[in-house]
Amino acid sequence: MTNEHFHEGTKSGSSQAHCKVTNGAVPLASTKTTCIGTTALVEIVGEIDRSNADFLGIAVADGATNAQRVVIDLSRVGYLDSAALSMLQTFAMRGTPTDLIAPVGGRARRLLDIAGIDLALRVFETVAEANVEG
Amino acid sequence: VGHGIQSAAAMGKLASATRALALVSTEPAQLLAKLDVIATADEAMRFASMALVLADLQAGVLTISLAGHPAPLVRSSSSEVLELNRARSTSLGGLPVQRTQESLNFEGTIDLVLYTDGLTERRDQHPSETIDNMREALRIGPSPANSLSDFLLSRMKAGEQGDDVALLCAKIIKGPKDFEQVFASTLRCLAPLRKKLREWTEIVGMSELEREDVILAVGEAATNAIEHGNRSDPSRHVTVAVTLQNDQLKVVVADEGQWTPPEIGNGLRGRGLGLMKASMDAVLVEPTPAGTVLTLLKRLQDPGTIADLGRTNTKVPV
Repeated sequence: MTNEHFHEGTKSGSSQAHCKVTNGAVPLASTKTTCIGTTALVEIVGEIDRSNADFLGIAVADGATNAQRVVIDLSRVGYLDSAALSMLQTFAMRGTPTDLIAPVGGRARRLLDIAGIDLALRVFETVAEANVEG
Repeated sequence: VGHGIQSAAAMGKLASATRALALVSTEPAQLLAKLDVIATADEAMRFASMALVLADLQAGVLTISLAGHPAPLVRSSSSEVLELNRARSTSLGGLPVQRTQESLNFEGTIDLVLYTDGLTERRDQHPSETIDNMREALRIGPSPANSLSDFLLSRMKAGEQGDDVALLCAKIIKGPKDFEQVFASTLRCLAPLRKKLREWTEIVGMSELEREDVILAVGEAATNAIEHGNRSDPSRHVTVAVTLQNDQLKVVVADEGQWTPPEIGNGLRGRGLGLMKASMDAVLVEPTPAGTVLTLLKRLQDPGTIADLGRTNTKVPV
């Protein structure tokens, strides 16, 4: 994994008007963007630290280009640090309404709680609870 | 020593004498010989029994010396049970004897069981028979130290004979006690550092939550050292050293540059220190001529596995 270089996600068919389906890999982590109506659901899998947070931010933004709502799923992120928190906040401050999925008991939820980010962004337990429907 | 307030007071004196002597003695037999002198001089301490075990975790060696005390049992990782009875001798301050000791080399993880004779003395059974029962119980007993002690107490019907019982079960793990990594100042080194630290924190028996908190704090500290201390100059190095003494975990992260800690909560740069403070008990930043030294301290909660194993253990039965 560590030798993989960042490459831009592959574009999906033109039927997706509001956002792009992408699959991206950065060192330590990968992203997968699914479009549900006007919502982009971005799942990050792996570890996020200072070495890949900026790349991941670009990958998330790339998938969510035209979405009206972005839901970032952190359920399968095994490690994240302050660089990850900065990336998430920087992305959320760009203007597209952004919610997070981070189940209680998981690593991401603990960090969001410590940093107080759960007070600024909505954090859901599951994709179903996030109500990701057009 | 017996029962009652006199005995309790004598035990207190014996415990502090043992603790003091442990600082200046390197061998259990030598320590017992010094305690003989003290116990001879003080009537109340005379004829106390003691089992002294020194665990060298780096070398994987247990050294045992006994003074009128039942021999400890050891269970290896392959469930082989040994009675460490070669260094038996008389009670403290009694007839003059040459104190001896026995050493046992071990690999991996072993269980050490120390107990007083209240657990094995039976009016209707020969002592060797009850010790055989005890060995069998240990052979099949559960792995976690607290479950093992409950299991042994119930199998041996502790308390039914009317004598009081002291039982200590300890899990002893051979392995490097200290963690040290030196790496070049590039962010690519962060993930391998976390991987190694994850392994080490598992070996020393930290709980899952504590491990993740420590890995986060060390990750933040190392990121700071790379970016702010060494300014991402790969020719400069970062040193991470983690030590565990009893239940106190200490992390030292040293870089070869100069940086000053920002006020907590000011901007993005401050967030790393904030997370370190949230996940550890104390964070100290100390600028030195050679670089900046960041120290993180945390008292570990989980006492079941290794908390007592880094030092010379003395168990003083009443």
